[in-house]
Amino acid sequence: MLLAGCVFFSILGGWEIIWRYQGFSPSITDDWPIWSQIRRQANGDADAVALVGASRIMLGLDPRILQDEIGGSAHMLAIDGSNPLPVLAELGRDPDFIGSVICSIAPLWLAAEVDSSGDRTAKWLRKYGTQPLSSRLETRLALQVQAHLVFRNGGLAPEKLWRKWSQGRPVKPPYAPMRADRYRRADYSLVDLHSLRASRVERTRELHDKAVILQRQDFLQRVADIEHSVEQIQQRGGAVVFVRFPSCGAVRRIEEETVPRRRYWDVFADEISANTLHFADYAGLDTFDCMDGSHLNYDDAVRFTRNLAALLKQKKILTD
Amino acid sequence: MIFNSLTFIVFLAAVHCIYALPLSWEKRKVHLWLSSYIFYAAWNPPFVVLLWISTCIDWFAGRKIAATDYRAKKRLFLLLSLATNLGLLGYFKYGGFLLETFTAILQNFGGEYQPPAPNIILPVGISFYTFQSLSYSLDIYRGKLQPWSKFHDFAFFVTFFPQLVAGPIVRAVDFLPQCLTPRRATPRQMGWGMALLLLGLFEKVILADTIMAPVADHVYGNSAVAGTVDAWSGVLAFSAQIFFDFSGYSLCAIGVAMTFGFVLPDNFRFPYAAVGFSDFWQRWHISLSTWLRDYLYISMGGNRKGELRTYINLMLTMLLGGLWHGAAWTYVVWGGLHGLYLAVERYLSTMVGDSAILKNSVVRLGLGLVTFFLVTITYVFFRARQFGDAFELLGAMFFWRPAELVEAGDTLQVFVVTAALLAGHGLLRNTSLEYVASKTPVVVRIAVVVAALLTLSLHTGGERAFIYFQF
Repeated sequence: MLLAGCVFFSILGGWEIIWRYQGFSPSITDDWPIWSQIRRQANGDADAVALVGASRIMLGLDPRILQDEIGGSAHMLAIDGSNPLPVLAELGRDPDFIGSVICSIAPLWLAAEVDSSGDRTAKWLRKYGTQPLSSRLETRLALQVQAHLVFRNGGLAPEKLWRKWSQGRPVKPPYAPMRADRYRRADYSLVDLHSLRASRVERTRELHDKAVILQRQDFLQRVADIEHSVEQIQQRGGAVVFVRFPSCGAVRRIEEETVPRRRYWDVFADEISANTLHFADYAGLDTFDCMDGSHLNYDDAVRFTRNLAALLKQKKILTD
Repeated sequence: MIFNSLTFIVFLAAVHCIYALPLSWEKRKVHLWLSSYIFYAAWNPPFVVLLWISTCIDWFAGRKIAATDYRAKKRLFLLLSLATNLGLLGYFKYGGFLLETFTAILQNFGGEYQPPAPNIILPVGISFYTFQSLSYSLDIYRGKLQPWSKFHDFAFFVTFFPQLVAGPIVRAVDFLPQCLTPRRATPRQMGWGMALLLLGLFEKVILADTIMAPVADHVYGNSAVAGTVDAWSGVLAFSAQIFFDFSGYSLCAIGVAMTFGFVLPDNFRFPYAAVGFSDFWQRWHISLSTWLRDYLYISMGGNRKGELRTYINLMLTMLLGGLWHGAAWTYVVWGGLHGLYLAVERYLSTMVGDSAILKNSVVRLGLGLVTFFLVTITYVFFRARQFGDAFELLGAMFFWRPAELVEAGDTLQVFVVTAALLAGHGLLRNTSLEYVASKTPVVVRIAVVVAALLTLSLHTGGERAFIYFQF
């Protein structure tokens, strides 16, 4: 057993070194237990800032830098590809949440009819309330392991490697690995930007073509529902700020065609009691080139976070 | 806390560290007993109370049964033990099912009763620890066991964490005597125990969860659109999955117990090499089948009350065995079919007797394959959520439909692993794992251990609970 242990650790160490040498870094495999753990950390802390949204905020706002800039603690509760409003509503309902919220809201989530019943957000929120003690402990340990060891990266599982090798596909490091705080540090130099941009535009087009945009009355009802969540958070001493994260080029054009800012965002900003920040209105937020039309590269994300923090401080939002 | 988790590795290491301290034997036993509560409480802390109830009542009932000479009084205390354990089981496991069945019957007769959903959470392992605890009072009642003198030994027997939630269902007569003398694993026991734990985890995580479960889940979840090849892939995948899952758990339990110096009984003996159903049940979930035989079948008269009663007893035992697995009629049908197979086999064996042809190796191979075939298709009722799904799948298995669900590579994988499983069971049916290991060269053993460790370490799939936890 001892000899087997020595051989095992030697091979495992070698495996770890090989992948690090290939440019891989540790990455968390995102799932509801990890989200739940971060969600729980946001409770009971008046200085907590919950970061709500989807992939734009996950890649665009670094919680560590935000914490350094505005103080308190930042908790990434965004869920990739999902509607952020159910998370905002949950934060509003939970009396244990006494912190503030930065909510990234893309035009479509604001103005389109959404059936959230089957999506990840609904599932994660449901499971969050019922996570057993053992699962919480397991999540803490698994996070530590995944955050430090490259070979625990989901893309390096033997069955996935076998599939890639058998299909003759190269094994490349992920361009947006996730840190233990659920921030995704994107490096677009690792991808074929041309094809990524094209597929992003195609997906955006498809999503927007399928969407059913709310009529004015229904839209105002949605704003009223959001306002209800905002008020619940405000009543407990927290603040809410909605941020429209940058989008560029064709993606931005599709968004504007389907959900014109004037008819939706501007109305929303007028109706809601929370603060709203549209990237196009502020020089510090409007100078970024979204690499795939929708997301920021890490160096831009750092600048964006600093500029946003400066703006929040200047407007005395989230800071005294 | 499940064996295939990091939490369990940390827990096990911590428990071993304290167990290795130079403490008295009584203190080390109390340490294992209390650690077992932590292990159980990791799921849902309030349910530890149920363990206490079961433990205290059986301890009390056992003493009272032994203390009296009056048969009626003995029966009364046995009834207390039965009512407590079966009552807990009935409420938590069958409460919702009984209410649902009652409502359905009422509605069939035109009643409009619609009760609110019962919302009862099933405590993990309740079917196992209630049976284990019950065996103590039943054995005292039958005069096979004297009440144990130390409460903490008995409580430790009920709660010992390796086998607490999914067996093997250990008997007091086998376990309690092990509490008499200080136990520490010898280096050989420690090595073999760790090897069993590793093998069990490999069976569970890689073979059951990674290779078989996705195909089985996909096919059983879409039975209406499954083609013939899909259906066979899914059904074979589940047959292999449930073996790897449950046998994996049992190996882990036996291995972990062994690292503390305790010996738990075998729960599986290469069951897919069984020739006939009587043989199958002597190889599959042995601790449950012997429990049902000793405390249910024999209590009902076994084969001592004539042929007809024997068949009835057999059928009732298997029906209740089916129901033990889960609160649904599909499990009852699964148990009933096994009862039927056992009855037919019994009838045929009385007709054929000890015929020489049954000893022919080709005939035995054929009978073994027939047994596996019937066991496998009977699992359709075990795994399907409802009868409609089961019949859809059986229809697809036996009447040609083009495949639509499972990719060819996955189908091939299922067939290859299942064939290897059958071949392995066939070759090893009269041996034991320990014997096979002892005959394997050291270099090969090291290579196997390293390969298993590496595969488990590099595998990044999510943790999936053991199938038998839900029972």
